[in-house]
Amino acid sequence: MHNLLIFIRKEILHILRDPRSLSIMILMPLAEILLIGFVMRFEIEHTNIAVYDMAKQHSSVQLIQRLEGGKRFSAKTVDSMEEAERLLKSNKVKAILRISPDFERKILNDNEPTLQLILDAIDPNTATTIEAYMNAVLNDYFRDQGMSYSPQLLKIDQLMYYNPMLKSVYGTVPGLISVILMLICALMTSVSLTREKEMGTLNVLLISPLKPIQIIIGKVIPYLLVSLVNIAVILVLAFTVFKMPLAGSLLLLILVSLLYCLCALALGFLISTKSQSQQVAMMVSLAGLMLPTTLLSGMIYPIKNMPMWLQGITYLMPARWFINILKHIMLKASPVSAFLPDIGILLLMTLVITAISLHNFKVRFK
Amino acid sequence: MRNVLLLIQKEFKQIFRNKAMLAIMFIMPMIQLLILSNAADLELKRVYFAWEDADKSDLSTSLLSKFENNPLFYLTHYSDNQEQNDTQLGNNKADVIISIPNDFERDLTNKIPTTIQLRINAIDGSAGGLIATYSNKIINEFYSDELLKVKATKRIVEARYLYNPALNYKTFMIPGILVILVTVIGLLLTALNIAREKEIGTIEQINVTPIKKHQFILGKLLPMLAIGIGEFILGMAIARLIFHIPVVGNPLVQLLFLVVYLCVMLGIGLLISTRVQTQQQAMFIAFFILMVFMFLSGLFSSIENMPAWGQMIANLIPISYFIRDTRSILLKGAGLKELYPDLIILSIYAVVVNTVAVLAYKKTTD
Repeated sequence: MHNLLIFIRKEILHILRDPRSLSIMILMPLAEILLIGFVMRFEIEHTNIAVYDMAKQHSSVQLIQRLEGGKRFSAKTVDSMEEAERLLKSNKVKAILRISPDFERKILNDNEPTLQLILDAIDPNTATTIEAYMNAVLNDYFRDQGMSYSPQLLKIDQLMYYNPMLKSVYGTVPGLISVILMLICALMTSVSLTREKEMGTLNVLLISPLKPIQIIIGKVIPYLLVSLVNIAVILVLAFTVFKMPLAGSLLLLILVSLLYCLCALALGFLISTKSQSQQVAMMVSLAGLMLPTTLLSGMIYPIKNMPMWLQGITYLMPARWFINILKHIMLKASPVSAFLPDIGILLLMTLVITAISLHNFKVRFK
Repeated sequence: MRNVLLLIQKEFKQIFRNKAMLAIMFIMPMIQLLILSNAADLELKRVYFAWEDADKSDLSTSLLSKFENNPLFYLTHYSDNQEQNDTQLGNNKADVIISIPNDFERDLTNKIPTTIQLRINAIDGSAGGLIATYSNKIINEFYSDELLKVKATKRIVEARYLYNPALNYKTFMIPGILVILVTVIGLLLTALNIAREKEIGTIEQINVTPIKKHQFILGKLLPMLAIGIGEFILGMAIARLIFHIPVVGNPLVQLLFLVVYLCVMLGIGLLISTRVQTQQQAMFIAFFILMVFMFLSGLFSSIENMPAWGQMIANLIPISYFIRDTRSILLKGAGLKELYPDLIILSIYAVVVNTVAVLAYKKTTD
């Protein structure tokens, strides 16, 4: 025990005496969550469209005014289809609305008007959303023109649970917290052994009376303290700047975050035991974790949309479980029993990863 | 010139003698491309709904069957217990609860207004909005079919999806994921490269040779450029053969953009590498830059949705140009005529970044 404490003290000194790295480790997550948290938006608020008005009649002009009057669209009128397509191709507009010459006649005859919407569908989600918005605007327009049916008896009352204002940050901030903590923690410990291997100090460690489990604990604990600072910084930002609600217990939130960091730190250590050089360890932990954690955690892309085999892989991502817990505690006010299994899985993952690291950690010289 | 060639030869030897690094550079990204391409799908494919019916009349049952017959909606729970249904919402078992009021049928047949309640899990704001839109559409269709006995208005707008007519999400995501993977590997490799030579001390050996500063940077840049190009081509082959991504535009234009873009990113990596003392610092800075680039690139959430200052930053970072241009070239068939302004900007970046990298590299020791 005494040995372990001395070892931990040595590791802490190591971290403190490299203030440049330490300040990077603490300031970077702060900058990242601020920048990315504000910028990632999934609401499509404003779209540029090209309007090719072949009718040029009273009603079509009215329709264009109607489109521009709402906040959703800003219309750019063009005089030929070629011009419109050029705008679409060079990403200046997302869609073309073509109003055919017989527009007014068809309106007066109470017929179906002929409108064509040509969408840049490279991003399918944006395309279908723009189409839905356009339909809504046009529906309103034609209703006001008296072309629609009698007043509605059937009303619909929509209650948006957990996120009444439909803010993106409620979804992105928990995801962002998970990705940033995962990467920064894994990166911190991923070089812990490899650097000692490269500098030759690992041999000194091996002939010391410290047991492998003590070395793991001694390497992980100081960084757990750094992660505690990271958690504090990130949570303060989440609650103040991003106005995230806290429906559950703050203490529980901090404890679960610590468990998650521990899991990530252990993962970094595991990478360290398997790598021969710092370079390999860093490439594996950064290039190997960044995209998979982002894409397979359900942070942006819903897990239920994935094919079954891929959903199976997502079970292995600690971030998947942590995001779930964060949403329960921050947004849903669920009872602890609702996310107890998720906590259990994180705990199990941490134990398994530590066990594998222990197994990999060789006390013999090569 | 000979000096540069010798340096390039040295770098290639170093790279190809390290089997672990080779696997990390080529196999790891390709596996990620193969797996992660299946993960990115923002389309709303399934909506799980719970049915809460206080009326249980013929009319409400016929509305239920409307929902059940919709390919998007899946009934997961049928209960009158409001609390139990809300738990379903909290546990992600249901995305929306559709609640039919008492006397639904009687009121509607007697022309008394009545209200259907939708309770939607809106943590993911944009999905919540779409669920509301689709549910409204079904209810309104039901209203006009069953009660007004008029055919619902046909679609007012005829929509055409250009460039990605099948609305395939993979077509949208795969070029972007490939760009991210190539960027991560390229930036990280170059960022660690000189820092590593500093740590092992081999930089001193180069500093005492007559190799000029620009030759040194060039000697680092060109091998990485070759690797980056190789990786991109390999990834494109996978995208083409396995995921059937169309290549509409000119591959040579794509190659030109790739070379210029890689010069920018590798230059940034080398610049980091000349400024830091340890590989760990290099890695953390590279991590920061990569996170910001990845999330602001318009790959996950489109740049048009960002707040104005976010759009400004997004328009400053080279990766957003390259992802946009890659999509335009591959999917829309855009060429230099449409994209030359972006090429000019990227070229300016490349020249500036690499010049700064040459200037920042000091042959003298502190």
